[in-house]
Amino acid sequence: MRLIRQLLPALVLLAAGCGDRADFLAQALKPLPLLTTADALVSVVPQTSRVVRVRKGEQPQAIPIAHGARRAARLQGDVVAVLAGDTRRPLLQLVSVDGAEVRTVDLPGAYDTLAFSADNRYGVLTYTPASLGPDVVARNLNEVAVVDVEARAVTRFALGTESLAPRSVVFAPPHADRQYVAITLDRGVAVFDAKDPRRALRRIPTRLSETQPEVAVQEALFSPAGDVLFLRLAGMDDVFAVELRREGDELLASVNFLAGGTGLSDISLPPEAAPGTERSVVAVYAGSQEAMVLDASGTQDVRRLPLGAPLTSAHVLADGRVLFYEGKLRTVTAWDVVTGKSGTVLLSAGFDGVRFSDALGAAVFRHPSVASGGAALSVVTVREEDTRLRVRISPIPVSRTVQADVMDETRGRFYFAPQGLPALARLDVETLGIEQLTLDAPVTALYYLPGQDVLAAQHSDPALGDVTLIPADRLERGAAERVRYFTLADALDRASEEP
Amino acid sequence: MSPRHLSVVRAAVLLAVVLSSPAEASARPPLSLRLGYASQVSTARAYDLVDENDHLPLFRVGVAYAFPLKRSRLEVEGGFLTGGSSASLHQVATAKLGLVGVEVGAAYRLRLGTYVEPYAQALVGYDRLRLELGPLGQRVGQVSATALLGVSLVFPLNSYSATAPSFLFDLGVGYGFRPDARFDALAPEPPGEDEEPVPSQSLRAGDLPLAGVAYRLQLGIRL
Repeated sequence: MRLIRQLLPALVLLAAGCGDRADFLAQALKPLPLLTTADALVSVVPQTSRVVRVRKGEQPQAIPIAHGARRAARLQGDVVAVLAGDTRRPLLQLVSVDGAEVRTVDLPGAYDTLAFSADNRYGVLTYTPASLGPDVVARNLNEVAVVDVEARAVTRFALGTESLAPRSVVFAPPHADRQYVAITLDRGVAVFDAKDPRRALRRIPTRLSETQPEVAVQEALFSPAGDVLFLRLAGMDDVFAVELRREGDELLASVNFLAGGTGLSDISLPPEAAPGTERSVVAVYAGSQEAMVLDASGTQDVRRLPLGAPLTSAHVLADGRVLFYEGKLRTVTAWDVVTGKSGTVLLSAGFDGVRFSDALGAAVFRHPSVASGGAALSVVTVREEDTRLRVRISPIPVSRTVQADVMDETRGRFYFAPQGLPALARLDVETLGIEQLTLDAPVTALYYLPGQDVLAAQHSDPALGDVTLIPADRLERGAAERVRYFTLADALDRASEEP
Repeated sequence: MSPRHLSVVRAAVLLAVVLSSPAEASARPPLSLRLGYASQVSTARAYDLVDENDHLPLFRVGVAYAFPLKRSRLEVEGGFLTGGSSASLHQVATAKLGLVGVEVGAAYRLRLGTYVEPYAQALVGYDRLRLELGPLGQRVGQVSATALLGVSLVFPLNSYSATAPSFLFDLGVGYGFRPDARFDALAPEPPGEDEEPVPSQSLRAGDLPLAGVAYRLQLGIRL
């Protein structure tokens, strides 16, 4: 019978001269941006409906998923969340890339973005205006969905704000009794408890008075305990501190305006080592050229540091110090919030990127060009002296502009690849020792997989998938492994699934 | 006689000539050489990877020796096949399938007059297949079997001598029993002596279905 079943259509095709080809084979491959787990690269390929796991020492493994994958995010462990399906049957798929298991949750809408709590328990799905088109002519972008991953339950509700669409989703640290979530908007912010999203929803306007218009939220941070939400708003100098608490089913919010300097440009949580700062925020003011630690209640004394330059960004290192910098300026300032000591140094040139080793309290700045010609790196380390912090620069010239880089934050190893060269190098920020390895193709992006202590160097063919995996502590060609065309893994089996 | 009657008479005469059977069938030359087109059509979806129209076009050369039977002959035949197919893959790569194979088999050929020989043929063979996805490739080998029903048109060079050489035109249709080829370790070509590339990990592509309808168009000569 099988023979007859194959024979008859084949005879018809033979007479006709040809048959239709599976459509998906003609589609251009457009994999989603690469994700990483602790020990693997993960490529989600919508055109082949596959999640491909690339791990050193193994063949790429393809895991079938639903069609229509359009967004993916890595969760804790080996789990990758994928928004898939279409407008008729939208899906959220949670893919365990180690176990090749897929859990599917039906969704009430074809959402565009996804974000998950730090413990993976809750996810929030939102729409963006970009999804509107021939298939969807209009949509209430205030509508969001909360996914309880353990219960596989989805709660759909409307934020009911005056804003067009959400801008970002920020989760508070997980708490036994609550899981606060803030959705920032172009007008205000909405906060809710993911454990009870419909009832515990609070819309918080972002204006100083009723006569003023609401402004967009630029940045949102939860305090470590998750009970205070700090907001940086467009064009406003005050930090909005929203204190949250539950009373019965209701979520209560009280807003404090934390005044500091002028030209608020960045906010960060203060170092954990600093006592009494659990409900505080570090604010950077480019206008008044200063940094402050502001308490949410506004009752504590303000710690203040003059920066001496209009610096715009702050990064808190694990040793409790804060580095302040700005891309086009050369000034880097370090501040120990606990002791109040500080120090400043001048970089040799402006920079286009910076990586931090929080564990070692160091930073590496990338300079595309320096005065002496060519590109360079600057390793910035901070040491404490009796009266001040000593900020030291160690310049490292490089042959070409750095195209890609990644930091092993724990061990303080900075890996980088010069533009257009088939090579990568390792810089030890503690000893400044450098090792390099020649590869077979130029590198366009670098990833670090701490679980295997492996570097993944992506080459210039992201559509087909082309990476070299190198043991991070053994930069040798013989120890490396190139994996090519991994987005086509399982291509024949995939083709046979087509109707 | 009307034109309609004339054409009927012509057809009847032609049929009589074709079916007129000199008794010396066994006296025909025993050796045959054939070459031509041997294609297979695989309608399985996975085959679309290497050909848009489901075809595996092959060039075939064969040699046969006939053992005479009463009003028929049994031919033992050996053949060599080579060919391949390719298709664009996701607009960024090309998937290619190559086949080189040999086969042996037997055909029972019935004599119907001077010019017509219906036949049934069975062949077994061994294929070397190569699948390429861009720079990656893999060779596999596997057995195959083909069963055909067809007809040969025989045109003697000297119509007065049964033992004279003849031209052949063969048309056969049947089924190629080729198992799915497993391509589970595609890798780049081994490097040259002066090259030392970074070692490569192989790629699993899956199973390529190859069974399907086979048909052959061949020209030949019988000596």
